[in-house]
Amino acid sequence: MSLGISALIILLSPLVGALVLIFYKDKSEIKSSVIANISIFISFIFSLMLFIIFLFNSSTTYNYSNLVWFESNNLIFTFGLLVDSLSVIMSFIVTFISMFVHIYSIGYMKNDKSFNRFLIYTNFFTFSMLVIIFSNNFLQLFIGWELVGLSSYLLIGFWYKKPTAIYANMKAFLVNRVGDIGLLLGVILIFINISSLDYMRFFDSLPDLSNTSISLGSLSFDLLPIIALLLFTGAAAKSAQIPLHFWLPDSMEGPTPISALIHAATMVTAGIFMVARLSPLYDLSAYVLDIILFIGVLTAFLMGLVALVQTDIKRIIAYSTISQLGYMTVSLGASYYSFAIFHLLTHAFFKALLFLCAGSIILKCHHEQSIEKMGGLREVMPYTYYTYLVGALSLVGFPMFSGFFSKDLIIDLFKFHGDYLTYTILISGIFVTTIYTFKIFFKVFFGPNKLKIKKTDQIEHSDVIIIPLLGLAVPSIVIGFALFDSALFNDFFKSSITDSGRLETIYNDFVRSSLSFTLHSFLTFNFLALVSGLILSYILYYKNYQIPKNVTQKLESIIIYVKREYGFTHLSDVFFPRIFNNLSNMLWKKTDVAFLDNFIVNGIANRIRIFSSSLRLIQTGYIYHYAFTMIIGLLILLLFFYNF
Amino acid sequence: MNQISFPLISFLIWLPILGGVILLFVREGYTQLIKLISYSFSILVLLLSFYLLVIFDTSSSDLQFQEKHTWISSLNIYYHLAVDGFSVVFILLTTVISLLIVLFSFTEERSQNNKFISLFLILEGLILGVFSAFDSILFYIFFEAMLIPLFLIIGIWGGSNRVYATIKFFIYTLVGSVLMLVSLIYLSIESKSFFIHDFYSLKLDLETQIYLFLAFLFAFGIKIPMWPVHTWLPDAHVQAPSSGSVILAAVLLKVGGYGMIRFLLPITPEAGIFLNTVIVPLSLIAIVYISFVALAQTDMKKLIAYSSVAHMGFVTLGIFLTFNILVPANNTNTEMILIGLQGSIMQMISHGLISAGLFMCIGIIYSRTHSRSIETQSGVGQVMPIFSALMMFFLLSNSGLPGTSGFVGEFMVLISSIEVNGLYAVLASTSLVLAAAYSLWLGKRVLFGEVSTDTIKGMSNLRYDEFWCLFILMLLVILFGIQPNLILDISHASSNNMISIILNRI
Repeated sequence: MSLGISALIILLSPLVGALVLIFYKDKSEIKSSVIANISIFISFIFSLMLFIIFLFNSSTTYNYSNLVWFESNNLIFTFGLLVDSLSVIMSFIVTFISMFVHIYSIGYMKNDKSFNRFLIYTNFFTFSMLVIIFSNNFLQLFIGWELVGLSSYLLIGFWYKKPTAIYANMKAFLVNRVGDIGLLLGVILIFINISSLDYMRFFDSLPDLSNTSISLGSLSFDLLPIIALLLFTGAAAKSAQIPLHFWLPDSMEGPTPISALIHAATMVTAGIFMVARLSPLYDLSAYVLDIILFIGVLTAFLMGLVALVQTDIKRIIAYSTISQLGYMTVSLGASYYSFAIFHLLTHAFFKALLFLCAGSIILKCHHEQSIEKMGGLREVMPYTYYTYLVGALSLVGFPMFSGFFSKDLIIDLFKFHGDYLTYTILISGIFVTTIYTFKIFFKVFFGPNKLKIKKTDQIEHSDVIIIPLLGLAVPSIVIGFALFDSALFNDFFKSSITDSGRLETIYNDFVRSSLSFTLHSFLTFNFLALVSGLILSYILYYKNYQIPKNVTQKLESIIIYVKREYGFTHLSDVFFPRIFNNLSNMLWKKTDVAFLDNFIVNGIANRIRIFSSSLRLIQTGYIYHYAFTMIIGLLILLLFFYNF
Repeated sequence: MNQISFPLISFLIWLPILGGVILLFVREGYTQLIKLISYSFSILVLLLSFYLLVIFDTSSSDLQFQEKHTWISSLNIYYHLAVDGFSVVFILLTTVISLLIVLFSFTEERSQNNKFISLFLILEGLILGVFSAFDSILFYIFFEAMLIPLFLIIGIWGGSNRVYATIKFFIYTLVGSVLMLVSLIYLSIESKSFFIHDFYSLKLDLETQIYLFLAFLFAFGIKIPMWPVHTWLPDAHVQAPSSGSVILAAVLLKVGGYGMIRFLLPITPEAGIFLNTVIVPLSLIAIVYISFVALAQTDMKKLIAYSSVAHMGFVTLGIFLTFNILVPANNTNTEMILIGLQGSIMQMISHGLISAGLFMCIGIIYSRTHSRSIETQSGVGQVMPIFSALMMFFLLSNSGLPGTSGFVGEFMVLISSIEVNGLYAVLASTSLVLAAAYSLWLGKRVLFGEVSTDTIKGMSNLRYDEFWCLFILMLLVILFGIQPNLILDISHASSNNMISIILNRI
């Protein structure tokens, strides 16, 4: 079967599923979930098939565009499909995670009366995400981009009675829209310069464009860096990079399976994917890469610290997600786009796993989310315990786990290139990551069972919850190792991403092979940071070593400062809303109502009325008044004519 | 030239008026008969307009199906009807919306429903007349006559402060159109004809053009409305009955944009260039400033009314940017400007559908709770889930969501604005955030959250006729979002021709 048809099936199957669910009258949960699961499963099977085909022959690309959106003389806007190694691996990730999240939702969302609506949203999300992935032009990218934003909006606010949820979803949508301004302007800039929005046309005309400049007022800029920067604004908002990150922690108001699917594994990585997809552009926009690197480092480190001071299990993992996205951004900034995609891949599995574990814990604890109130769940939920451990080890980058291969690769890159400042910051990032990851581990699974949750004879949850945990734990262990030599360093991305030359250098001079990379890693600072973080976490949260009072007091103000995200919380929740509110009220009441309407419009009417009512006074109806006026008038006329 | 044997356009105009007059003579109690007459006439007109679309030759920019009869021979005034691409697009919008309004008007209880609907049918005929009149005096008469039915609709069936609103609305728009009449007479004396296309070939000096430009701008700017002459719109909307708001927002405002394309662009292009630095900022103010004003509203109708002004800002922006093709120094790509002009048309059609949907939604809420307050009502979603899904859909398309028609027009206008000046595009694109902010805020406050009052708890389900009104609009919004070509193809030849008329003026 041809690649195009397969991609089309992958793309449309979730949409068809969603449509069937919308018009499906019978609201039984089982039938709905069967429909949703089958549609995703079809997508997954075809994605898997494509992935395997590309593992053997990654150099094929299939670029097809036919469906016309609109045309104007010789300018045509089309929809199309681009199937290459990058889109294939992304669609594999998305459909894989989506499939397990769908299964998990059957257990997690049961007894929710809007279960059908939930499945419609998730199916629609999967479709929108695939629209981005298989897009072969910027227009379709933008459309998919907004549609995933829409799905995220709908799903965060899924429980629409909760005031916090409907606040969070609006915040998420608006922040993403800010980024979308950049993306849209960038896309249009491309269009007016090359009269097309096709990726391939754009890549072909890059050499010509590199000498073009644009002017804004009296300033003149090189075109390509401006485009790259504008597009990255969109990516930064979607992938929650500083300073547009603050919507993601609040998005945890949505159901947990959604946090796993959208706000950890797939949608938030769309920004990373886009930059990797446009690697030829970013290769040519030098200083933009430095900005990206800087933002990535900042996000990776600072947001890791915020995770450290949180107590809500989902928020910890959310900040961890932001921080890990920071690592991917760092790798993009260093123009090793493939490494970013590789980390995206492993991260998708272990972070989805961690979220689903969190969901399983929350479900067992009757929707309690604070880790301070949990404890001793190791006996009660063995499956969650072990799978969480797998996810945690993968996240912190313990050698041989998936996360290790992708994350340490990114970090070691800076050692290889001799950028020791970035290297140090990223290594301290590992330290922080390990502390908060195992903070959850020790606090939740060990210590006294504070919530008095009894161990039942049955398995901890129904199968539909356990199977996804196991299904995600396997790739969290093996996929990094499995794809390291055979795909990442085997020119898998050569036909879609431009960094294959650099990859070859680093492989020959530094990595050599997965085995030597692993063995060598035990002697690096990375491992040292990991182990010391682990020990510290063990002392603080397992042994419950009491930090001396005077130290905690001194730390207090710093912790509060970090908890407020270095002031970002204030900015986003108080400062900007207030400015918007005051400005709009002022414009409305002062300018629109008071000045334009009352002063000008009604004012003119009033003045006419005053004028005419004073004029009316002359019309008294008394003959002697009129006679008097006539005489005066006659006198004035006489004076005028005789010109005395 | 495309000709047919019977006067199709006359039928389009006079059939609904005939229907309206017949309805006036039907006794109020005969609901079935009223329904039969109003449905049959509006459906007949809709079918006629579809027939017009089918036989309309989209590849030609000539006037088609001309009907020309002497009317006042001493003054050289003709009863001259025809259509080109611009006309057909708006005629279709009018007939579709009018049918939905008739459908929607039967969902609400009111006294003298026969007269109410009769006025809408008469109004439909007059609007269709505006869109197909090519004799300027005939155009002017339809343009003015249009005010009367709406005046009565708001004045008789409106809210408590309806007298103030109607007089404001009437005088406001009349002031503008009187100036237009003077310009039309001037132009006809110059060209010795009242035929609008004869005006296009007049050689006018810059000063005359500027006077004419300002007169037309005033007339159509009030109608569309542009900032700062928009203040009649929120009042008129708030006082108007729901159906009145629908026709006002969906169709009547578009007459302003249509007039600008018909008169401002081809007759006074040099004045358009001369005044470009004044009129383009007015559009940008409408987009940015009015969006902020919308954010502060506490009345649902006012919010949507202001949002209409902001959306019309994109329309005027797309139209005014068209003048820039005349500045050779800018090195402007005509193709991009053409996209902007087409975008204005797309934006008008899209706004017509979306605002119609939103005003119907607000009407549905109002008919149940008798309140349009945003602040005191919440939780409608729990009581009326399907309705809330539909309203949320219209709110999202109002914020320009891709996949709906709301995105297409803005996207196209942004293309031409970035071609002319990047700063324009940056300012206009803030609408992406601001429109989302006020639309979603409205949805969040009213549809989501806990049920706030007993009246909301007691809201009755969405009726079938109400559902179908909204559902048809939703389908159209999605259809034109995915296939904007369906609209753009109709007006493409005319837009192309308009660009070349402007280029030939110099």
